[in-house]
Amino acid sequence: MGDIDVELRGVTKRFGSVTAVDNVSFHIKKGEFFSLLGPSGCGKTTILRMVSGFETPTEGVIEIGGEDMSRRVPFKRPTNLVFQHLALFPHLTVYKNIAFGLEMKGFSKSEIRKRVDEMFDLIQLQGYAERKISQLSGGQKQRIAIARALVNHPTVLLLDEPLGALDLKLREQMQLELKRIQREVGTTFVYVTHDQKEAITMSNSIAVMNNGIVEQIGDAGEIYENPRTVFVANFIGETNLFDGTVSSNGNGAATVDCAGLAVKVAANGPVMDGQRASVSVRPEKIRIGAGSDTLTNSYEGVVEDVVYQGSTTSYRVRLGNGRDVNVAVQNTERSDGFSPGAAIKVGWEPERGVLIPEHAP
Amino acid sequence: MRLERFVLRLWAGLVYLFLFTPIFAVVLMSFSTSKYSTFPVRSWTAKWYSEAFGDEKIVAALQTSLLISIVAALIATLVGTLAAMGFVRNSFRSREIMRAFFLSPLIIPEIITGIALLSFATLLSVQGGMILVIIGHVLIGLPFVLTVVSARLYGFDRSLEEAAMDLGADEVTTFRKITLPLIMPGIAGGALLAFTVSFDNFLITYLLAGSEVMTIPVHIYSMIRFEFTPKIHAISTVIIFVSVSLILVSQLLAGERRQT
Amino acid sequence: MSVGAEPAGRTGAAAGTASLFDTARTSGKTRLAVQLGPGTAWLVAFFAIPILLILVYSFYSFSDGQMSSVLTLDNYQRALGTEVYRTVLFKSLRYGLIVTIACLLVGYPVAYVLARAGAKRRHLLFLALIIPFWTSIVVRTFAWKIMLGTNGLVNYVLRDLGLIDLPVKFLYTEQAVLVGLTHVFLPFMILPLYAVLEKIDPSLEEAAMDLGANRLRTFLRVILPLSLPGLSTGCMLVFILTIGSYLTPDILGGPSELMISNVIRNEYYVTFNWPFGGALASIFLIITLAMILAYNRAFKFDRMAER
Repeated sequence: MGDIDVELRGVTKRFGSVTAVDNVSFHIKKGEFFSLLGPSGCGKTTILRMVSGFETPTEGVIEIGGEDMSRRVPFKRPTNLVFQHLALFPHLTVYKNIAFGLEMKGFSKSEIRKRVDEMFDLIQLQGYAERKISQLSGGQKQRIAIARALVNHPTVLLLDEPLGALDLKLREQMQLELKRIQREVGTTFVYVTHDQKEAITMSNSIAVMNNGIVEQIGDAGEIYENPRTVFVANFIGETNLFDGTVSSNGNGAATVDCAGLAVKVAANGPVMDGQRASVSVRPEKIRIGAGSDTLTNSYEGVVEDVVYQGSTTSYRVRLGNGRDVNVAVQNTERSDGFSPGAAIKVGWEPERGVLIPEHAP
Repeated sequence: MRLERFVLRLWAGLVYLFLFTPIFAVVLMSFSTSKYSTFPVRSWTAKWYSEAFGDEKIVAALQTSLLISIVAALIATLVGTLAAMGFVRNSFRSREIMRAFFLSPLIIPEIITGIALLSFATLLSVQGGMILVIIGHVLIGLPFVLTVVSARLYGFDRSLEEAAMDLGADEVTTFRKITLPLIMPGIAGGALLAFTVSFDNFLITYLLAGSEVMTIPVHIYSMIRFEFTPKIHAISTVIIFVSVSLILVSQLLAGERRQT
Repeated sequence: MSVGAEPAGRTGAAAGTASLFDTARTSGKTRLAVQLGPGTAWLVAFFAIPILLILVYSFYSFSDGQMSSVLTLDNYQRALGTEVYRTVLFKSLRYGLIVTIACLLVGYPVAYVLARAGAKRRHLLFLALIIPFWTSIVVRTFAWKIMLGTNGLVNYVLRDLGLIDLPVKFLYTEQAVLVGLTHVFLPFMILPLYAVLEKIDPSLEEAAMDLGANRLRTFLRVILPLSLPGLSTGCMLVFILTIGSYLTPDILGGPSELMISNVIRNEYYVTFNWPFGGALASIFLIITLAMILAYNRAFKFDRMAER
């Protein structure tokens, strides 16, 4: 257990009749950058608040560093939280803000000075000690909030969508900054976000949440390439979903009949004939035009819509059974591509798709 | 467009004139040598001020007023701040009704508050006097403290308290180091209002004071009614000056409120 | 705590502190009692019970200067049945209405100018407005006595301009009382009006005019409806405060300008007829409360219309 920092076992949180978090279990390894990703209201913030101690689980156990935290008040936990709106104390200077936690723990003045100065080096804001919070820019406030939490050397640093209020440019800059800080201090980071790009860029490990349950946990590549639920496939990136019933399977392959369209797909787990399932195919995995007619899944269609997006061009193609698929083509060469109305073929090999069997209700 | 804006501004100017001319008239009279409130002013003097401050009754009334207002403001501020925390930080079924109850002394006519307390005191065989006046003044000061402190608390970001606790401060320390300093301008503003309301109050004081207690508004009233003296002009001017100063202070506090 | 699998021996002090974060617990109730208890006690003991006492006394009888607990409705019959008291009651209501309308007409344009002024000037004008608001009512009423006296400022200016030869008797008339009341309560109208007008985005007016409404229709169709909450608050405040006036009719009016508060005070302090004074006060209280209830209902209608 030595390399596990945070563990949730069967954690449920109900607010009245609403179940915000439903029987969630997972663990976070030491030094990981772990993201809780999901739409608003999915329960990710509630999990963070239970780990930091501002909510008590209705059921289940939360352990940090092997110790049960269920009955521990926030001010006695080895965690620190970077708040969504930062919650910097407006009546204190930057220095006093960062020193607050150390003062609470009764460190000596010289020790506090030393550790706060280290933080100023880490966040590269030397010389800002005596500023007022209102005199800082958005990005600077962000760094102060992170420093104020990190200075206490928490076992786990919790971050509640702290970059949400920043504009795009600054946001991307702060993402890199956060990543750098995490590498330097090596602390476990638990990061809550609704932005899938942000989660993919920054995390070692991502837990995708929806309606209070964890849909899938894995690294970014696994979650993108192998979504295990329709929700994950849809929420992370774009995809084409073919819903239907399994018409045949065996030898690691299956065919899904999707409104008259037979879609062959690689099957890793057990499936049964007649079972309802979806096949998820990412737009960039579909070939269009030349060479697509020799592929295992190959269909005729008509180009409905063309959107030029710089590095890629996106096509919407209507297939024979009336279904639309989206295809993204890398613009490696300057070419004219296809025009709306063109009759073409699209296709992909079975292993490009992902079979998602429907859960037993 | 221009004409209309001009007419509107002219109107506003006239209304301000209407509001301020009487006040200036009092100030003018206080420096006039005339023994009555007579216009125009023929010659100027400051002697009414020295006479007013040499008048034992006026000085005593000022002292009584200050004492009553300070005590009433302190009680109203303490009770009102606690209540504001209760109303803003909790949700319970009767909250809106309770709030209305706390604010009601503002709307119930003062004559009723006055005679009600008089009836109550008589029932308990308590003589009118300073304590009764203070009780009444706390009643009318409370709504002001409650309103101002509540506004401050509503604007207060609760995550600041959570941040303090997250950083290791227990509840008491959090209140002392974070909550109190941040709502202090609101509390001070409320206290100032409660003080002013008490200091300026006439009717409740007049009804409850009895013969022993004389505050400055009641004393001015009796001078107007029964023994006119030009000292009224002087002491009225002093009161106007005090009010203006208090407003400026409260505006400074409000300015600080806007900043944070 | 409904945790079924709660590990034994993990309760105690830590659990006590943890419960502070859960509002539905007893500790939350204790805290609420500490917060609201003192205020509630003060208001019940020194406000609610005393007012109930007035109501109770209003059914007592009064003879030979003595109050006795024989219950009767005579006080109410006399209060509502006697010409003099009916007149005073109606006069108070009439003054309330006149002063409210006067404050509204005088104050609305001022509130508008204030709300549309530049930030700096607005701050200054606002300050200037709350100075009379916070100046002692005794001083302000006395100021009008100086203004309106035979040798007062108004007579002086009129004579100086050659408009009159002999001083006009302004004091101790109904007009003097109404002017004084308007002066005293005008800020109570302007401040709530200003508060709502300031929040109305000026571009709404521009949008209305862009869509073809002239200035009058812009005002009637956009500004006025949006300012109704402040307008109703202002009107209610001014009306209720005016009908409860004591000082202004006492100082600026003659015997025929006495209002309900003056009459109630006389019953309590001059004739010592508390039951009858109590009946008058109760009627007055009921009128006031009815006004507030009506206002609340109207105001909720407003909110519904917004949705």
